[in-house]
Amino acid sequence: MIKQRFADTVKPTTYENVLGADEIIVSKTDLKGHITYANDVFLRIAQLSEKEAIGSPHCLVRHPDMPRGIFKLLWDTLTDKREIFAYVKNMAKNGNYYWVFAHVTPSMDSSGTVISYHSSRRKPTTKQIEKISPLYATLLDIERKCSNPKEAANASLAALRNKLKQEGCSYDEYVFTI
Amino acid sequence: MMNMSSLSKGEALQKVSALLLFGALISVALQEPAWLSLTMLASALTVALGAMLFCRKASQSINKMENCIHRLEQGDYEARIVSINESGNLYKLATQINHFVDMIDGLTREISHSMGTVSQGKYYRKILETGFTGALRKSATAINGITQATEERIMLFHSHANMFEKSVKKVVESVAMVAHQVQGSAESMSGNALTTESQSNAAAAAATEMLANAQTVATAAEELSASISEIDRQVTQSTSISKNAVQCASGTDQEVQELVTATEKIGSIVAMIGEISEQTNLLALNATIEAARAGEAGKGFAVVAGEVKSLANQAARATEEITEQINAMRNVSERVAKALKDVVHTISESDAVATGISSSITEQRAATQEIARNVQEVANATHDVSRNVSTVVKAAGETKTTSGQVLDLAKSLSAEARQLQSEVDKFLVTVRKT
Repeated sequence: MIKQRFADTVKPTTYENVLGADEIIVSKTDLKGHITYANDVFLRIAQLSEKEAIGSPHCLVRHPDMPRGIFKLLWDTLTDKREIFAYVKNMAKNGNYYWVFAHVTPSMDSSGTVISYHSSRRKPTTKQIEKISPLYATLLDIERKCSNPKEAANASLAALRNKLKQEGCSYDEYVFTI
Repeated sequence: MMNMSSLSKGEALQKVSALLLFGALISVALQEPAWLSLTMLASALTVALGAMLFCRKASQSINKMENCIHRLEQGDYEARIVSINESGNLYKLATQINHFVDMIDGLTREISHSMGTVSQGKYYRKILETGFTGALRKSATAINGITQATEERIMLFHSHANMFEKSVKKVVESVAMVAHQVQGSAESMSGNALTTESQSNAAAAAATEMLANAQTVATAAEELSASISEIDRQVTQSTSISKNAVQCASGTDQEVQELVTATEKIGSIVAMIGEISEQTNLLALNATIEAARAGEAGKGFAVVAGEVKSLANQAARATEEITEQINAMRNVSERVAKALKDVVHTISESDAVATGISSSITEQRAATQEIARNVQEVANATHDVSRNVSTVVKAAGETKTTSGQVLDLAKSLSAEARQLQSEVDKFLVTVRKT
């Protein structure tokens, strides 16, 4: 079990840990976001052992290039018992990056209570990464001007929603059409 | 050894333990030194213990897998084999089971969310096929194909609905427009009918009045005609009176001439009487003279002569008076004759005037008859007008009724058009939700 994020201990590199086009990273977390299951692809790409992965917070692999607003949106959506898709740049244990098209869904018991979260991550296309990267850079710029993380997350999420409103589509449609 | 599972390790150690046991037995049989047999036996036991431990771990791992599979059997796809700390075939088996469950779990979630989105009428959320293999990939592709086909059909349906809406809207709009126009026309027609009716009534009243006037004129013309006849009769009478007057005047003229002639005769007689009275006077003078000579004897005579002289003087005076009277009479006669001529002349003129009047009267009669005929024609025409006006009034009434009906129809058509529009809108809202 690792308690600190990789980004706190290593500097991000410019190298990519390559995810196969037909591979899926699968992981499950408890309601607090602690990893309860990680498949072998996850362990390989994030350069983790199962022992290290189980019980660690999922934000372990969060990359500093990712805006907080996206994760706020992710958690807001999951709290609303809905699925969410997001393009996410993650960081492996050694600071290498890997882009994923993440699909996170809440798992519910027969009474509809959320009992865990499930995440499947696939390799996004180069075109999708080229499209989402400048948006994230813009959101990150907005966040840097904020005084605290919470304000930063709210500000960048508001900017994202505003952009989607201008384009006249929902977030779900947006991520599926780029 | 490191890449072996606990089960393989246990098996291997069992084999080693069996070999050691077999070695110990051989060593006993060959009467080798006892320490060797004992050492081998001890080793066999130790290895057997190790094998037991590995087998136990293997058994625990297999139990975990069994538990996992049991949960999966119950439909709990949250189940995974975690932290078994194995390697080799048991690790591979656990990983493969996890991978298999990941596929099923993943596809189940994909299908459920994709179909959930489809059920909301959105078709962009396709099943992500990446990572699924074999039959699962095939199923995912098939479901996505169905979603795609559904979307296309729905799009087609919506496009048809739009076209339907467009055309129905167009129809409804033109129906509404026509209804509106018809309503307007009907209202205007109704108004016109009312105006026509009221004007026709006024015309009918005017015609009736005209007819009465024509009758009055006809009566007046008749009276005029009668009056003209009377005048004619009187003029004729007057002409005949004039003729009589002329005749009378002519007769009188003759008599006056006769009177004049008689007067002339009287004059000549009077002149003769005058001469006689002068001679008498002279005789009386002579007698007086003679009587004076005769003296006394002639005194009586002288008186008679005086008497004769006085008579002669009286006669002379009477003659003068008669002459004067005759002269006066002549003057009167001449004046009478002249007056008679004037009378005849005047009568002639009057006769000419009467003739003129008579001819005027003829003309007047003709004119009066013309008036009477015209008045009759006016009366006839007025009758026609009256009849026609009645027809118009009737027609206006019918028009009013008809336009009222048309108005009602137009209003109901408008309402129907609105109803149709609303029904179509409702229908489209309903079908578009599907």
